[in-house]
Amino acid sequence: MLSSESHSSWLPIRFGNLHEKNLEQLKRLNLSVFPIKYGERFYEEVLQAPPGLVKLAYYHDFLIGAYCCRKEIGSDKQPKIYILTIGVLAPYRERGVGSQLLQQILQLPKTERFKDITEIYAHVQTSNEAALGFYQKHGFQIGEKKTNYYRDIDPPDCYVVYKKYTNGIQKDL
Amino acid sequence: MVASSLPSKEQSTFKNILKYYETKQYKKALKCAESILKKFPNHGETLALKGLVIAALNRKEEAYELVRRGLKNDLKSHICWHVYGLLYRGDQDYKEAAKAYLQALKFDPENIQILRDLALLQVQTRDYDGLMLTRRKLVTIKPGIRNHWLGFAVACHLKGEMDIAIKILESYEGTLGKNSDSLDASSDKRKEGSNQEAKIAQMEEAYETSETLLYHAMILQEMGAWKASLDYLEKNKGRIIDLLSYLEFRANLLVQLLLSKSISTEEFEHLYSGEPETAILQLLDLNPNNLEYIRLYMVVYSFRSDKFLNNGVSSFCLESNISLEACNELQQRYPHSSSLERLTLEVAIGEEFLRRVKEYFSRFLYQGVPSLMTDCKSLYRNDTKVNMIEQVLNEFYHEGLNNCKLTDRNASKNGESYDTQVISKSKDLTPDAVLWSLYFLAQHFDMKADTEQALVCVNKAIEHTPTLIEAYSVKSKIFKHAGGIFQSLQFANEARKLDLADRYLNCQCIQLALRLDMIPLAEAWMSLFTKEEGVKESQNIYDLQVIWYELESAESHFRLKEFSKALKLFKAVERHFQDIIEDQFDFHSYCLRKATLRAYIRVLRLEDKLFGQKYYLRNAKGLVRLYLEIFELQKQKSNNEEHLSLSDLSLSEEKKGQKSKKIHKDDNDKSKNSPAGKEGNAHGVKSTSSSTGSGWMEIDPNGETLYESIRDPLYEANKYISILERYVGDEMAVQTLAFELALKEEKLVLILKAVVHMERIVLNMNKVSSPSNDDFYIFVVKKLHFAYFLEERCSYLEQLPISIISFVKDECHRLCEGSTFEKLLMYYWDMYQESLAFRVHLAELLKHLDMQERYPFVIENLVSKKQGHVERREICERHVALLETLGYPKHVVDELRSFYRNIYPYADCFQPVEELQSAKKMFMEQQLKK
Repeated sequence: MLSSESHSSWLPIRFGNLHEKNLEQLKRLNLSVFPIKYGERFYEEVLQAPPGLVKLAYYHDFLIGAYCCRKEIGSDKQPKIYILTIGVLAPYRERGVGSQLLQQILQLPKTERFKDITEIYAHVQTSNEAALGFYQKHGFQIGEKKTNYYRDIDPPDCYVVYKKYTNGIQKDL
Repeated sequence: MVASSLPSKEQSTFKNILKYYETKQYKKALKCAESILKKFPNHGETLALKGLVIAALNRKEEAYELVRRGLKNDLKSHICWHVYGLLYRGDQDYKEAAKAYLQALKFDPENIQILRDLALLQVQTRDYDGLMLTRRKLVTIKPGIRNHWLGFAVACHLKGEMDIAIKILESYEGTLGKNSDSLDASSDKRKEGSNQEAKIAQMEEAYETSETLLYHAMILQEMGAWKASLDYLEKNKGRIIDLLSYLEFRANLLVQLLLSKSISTEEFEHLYSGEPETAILQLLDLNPNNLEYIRLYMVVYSFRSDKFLNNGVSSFCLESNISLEACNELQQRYPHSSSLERLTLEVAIGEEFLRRVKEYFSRFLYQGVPSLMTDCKSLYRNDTKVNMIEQVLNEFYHEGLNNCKLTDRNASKNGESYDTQVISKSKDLTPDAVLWSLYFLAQHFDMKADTEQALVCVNKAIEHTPTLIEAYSVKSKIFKHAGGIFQSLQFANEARKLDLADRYLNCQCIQLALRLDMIPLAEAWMSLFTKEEGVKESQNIYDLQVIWYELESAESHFRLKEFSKALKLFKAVERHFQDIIEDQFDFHSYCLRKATLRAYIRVLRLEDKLFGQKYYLRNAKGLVRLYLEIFELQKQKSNNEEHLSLSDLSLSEEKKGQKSKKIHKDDNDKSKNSPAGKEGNAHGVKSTSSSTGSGWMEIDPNGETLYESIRDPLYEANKYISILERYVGDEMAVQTLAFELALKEEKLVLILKAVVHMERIVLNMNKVSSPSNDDFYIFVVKKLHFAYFLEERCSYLEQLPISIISFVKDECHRLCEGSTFEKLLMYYWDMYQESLAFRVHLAELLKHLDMQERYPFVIENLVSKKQGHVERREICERHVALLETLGYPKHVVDELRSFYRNIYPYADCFQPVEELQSAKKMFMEQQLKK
């Protein structure tokens, strides 16, 4: 869990919603944060996402971070939240912005709309230790390794990180 | 109104017309009028009233006809004249309306209603002599009414009869005390109503009294009677409710009195020892950021320390009296005043400045306030300060870098973990400190016209935080200032796309698109923020008085030679300003009723200076240029027609031609009688009568009818030149236009006047032959042009009226130094041929006069690129354009273009033409597709 000390250096942020008028900002952010370029279909999807699944983080008056999720039914027929992207512009990292964003996602199963969620999960490139550490810090478990998951980046493998829920409450491990 | 000479039954019907008219039951009113006219078809007053009703139904021409018929039948009826005046007033022709009212008063001199109406017209048309007479009459006839007294006082004040105004106010205030009995009586009556209402009424009354007292003090102040004004305020202190105004007034008066020579310093100290300071500090305690208060403090401070610069007007200006000591003193008292902090930067120098600018900037930087550079523009007049600012910004930048060592993506990719190890986070420096210092540095270099450095910084800023919209706007501005309008548009569009709901970003794009003559794109973007499309949209924009857009659009259409559309849009802007003039009408009665006379006087003075507004003047220049073009086109057309008629017109048809010419002349005369700015109006009236309800932009949206209705373009141009002369006569561009206009009119004296005015401008510049001084060379070349005109039309000089002929001859002789065009040309060529500006202007003149072959050395010289120094971009641009119009082969022009591209790498005008054109076209198509 997070220590109170790091809290004090957190950047104060404000959350905002995504809509057609500011979509370009998310595109710029993602382009700068991720090694993968997301296509138009991705943005069409997140634009349609129900409130809560996409959030923008503003510092002062400009965008420095965002997350995009998708609600899906897993192969086990259980409803899950899949974290498509979560990212913060490089200069603003290590300031608790990502944690504040992830906290928002972790709150979702407590809401009426997402109380049936059984799992929140994401894919992390195997080389991305920072991200793995980040998820672990927030109580995620590292699951199976998927080989050749990515097409254009190296290494092409990823881990699945996940967190289980029942009735909106995190399952004790 | 009682109708004369009608039987009693018709008398009552007549009264009914009025009743129905006032309650807007026009159909019934019309019926009544017609029933009388059946029996008495020539009853003048009924005819007039019928006209009034018809006018209300928007059938203007018929209305005028009826009222004129009425007048013919009953010239001595005040009703007929009154109605005639009302019609003109309805059409906003206040001068004609006033004339009619004055006629009406001849037959009914004490008619209160007509007198009041007349007073409104007279103040609207600024006929202060007439106004005073009317107001005096109203007071004499009905002295019991408060507004009559105030109205009379205002009239005297406006006329400049301050003493009379004061006397009237004094006697009015005298009655205030006496009336207190009757006031009590009336308030007794009100008590029967609700208590609340009575309270409100009482408060209103008290406020009105307070305003009247302050107005009185204001007139005393304007008379220079500062002591009297102070005494007056002191005496009436208890009744003044607007305490802030009171305090401001008093502080101003104390300072004025202190500085004036009307009272000795000893006497002042005896009466008001230390009071100016106390009064000003009292105000500053209320608002330490008010520059007006700070100004007063500075003036007093410098006066006390004998450093006061008593040089007339500027003695009261802040800049000439501000001192560091005074600033320090005030800052100790008000450490949180940012106005003071900013002001100190103006006077502090050296280390002191460095320290303070650092402190000031740091606050903006840490809070991320994008407007810092706009706020600090004035500091850029001082080179030492500019260098220090650069130093400070660089320090901030490096400090920021050291504080948050960037661990960019590459580093992490290379296996270096971007875990917590390297990053030393300081709590007071946030990660955006780097961003803002880059952002400010970019603007700083842009201000220094160092485009390269500015771009480096802004690109770094964008890389740092690619979501900061302002950074794209700054990048757009950098290109714009470097002449790269197309690139500027592209980055403005990047900014716009980041927030499609931002009207400002959208407008930035529209403006740039119009500068690039991409009108369809500008219109498409405009429609994102207006509800309607097509013609309705332009009507919507017109209704919202979006002056900047209509003006930019007009200028663009003008460049594209779409003259009728340009005319329509220029006229639209013109009409907005006429509307603003029009808007004051209601205040003439409203402000008297509410007794807000100080504000009222300020509004009148503002309206008097309205045409001095930047946008109005720019629009006026556009109109003059347009009318000059139209004149040329009409001349060409009539030349062609004349040519035709000479060759194959039969005699009878020629007669017809003469007739139509005569009609033209009548039209001219008519338009000459109408006051400035009415020309478009008369046209508007005509069209509204045909299709009621539709807006000005919807009728004749492309201005063809308007364009066809121009009979005398030079006359129209003259109207605007005279306004331009009044407000910005000392601008070279205005005198150049005046010169061109006078030349087309072939009016020797006016041409001379323009050249002499140019000479005066140039002499006032002090650095006459400084090589970058474009204005100087414009003057020299216009002088040559003038000399040429004199030689060509020497007979003009002899035709002048005897009274001025010798004076004009002397001036011509002086200007041309008693020489000929050719000799002058050679003389100036020897002197100034080194200057590209001179060579370009001269070649333009020769081309205009079609004499380029006579002086081949001027033209040949154009291709040589020898240059001692870097010329201004505008001149280089003209140089390229000139080569094109002179018909130089393409490779020569392109060579020159690429030569200039080395100096101005970003400017559109020096880019390869085809490439730029196709890039623009592609961009526009792409944007329009979306």
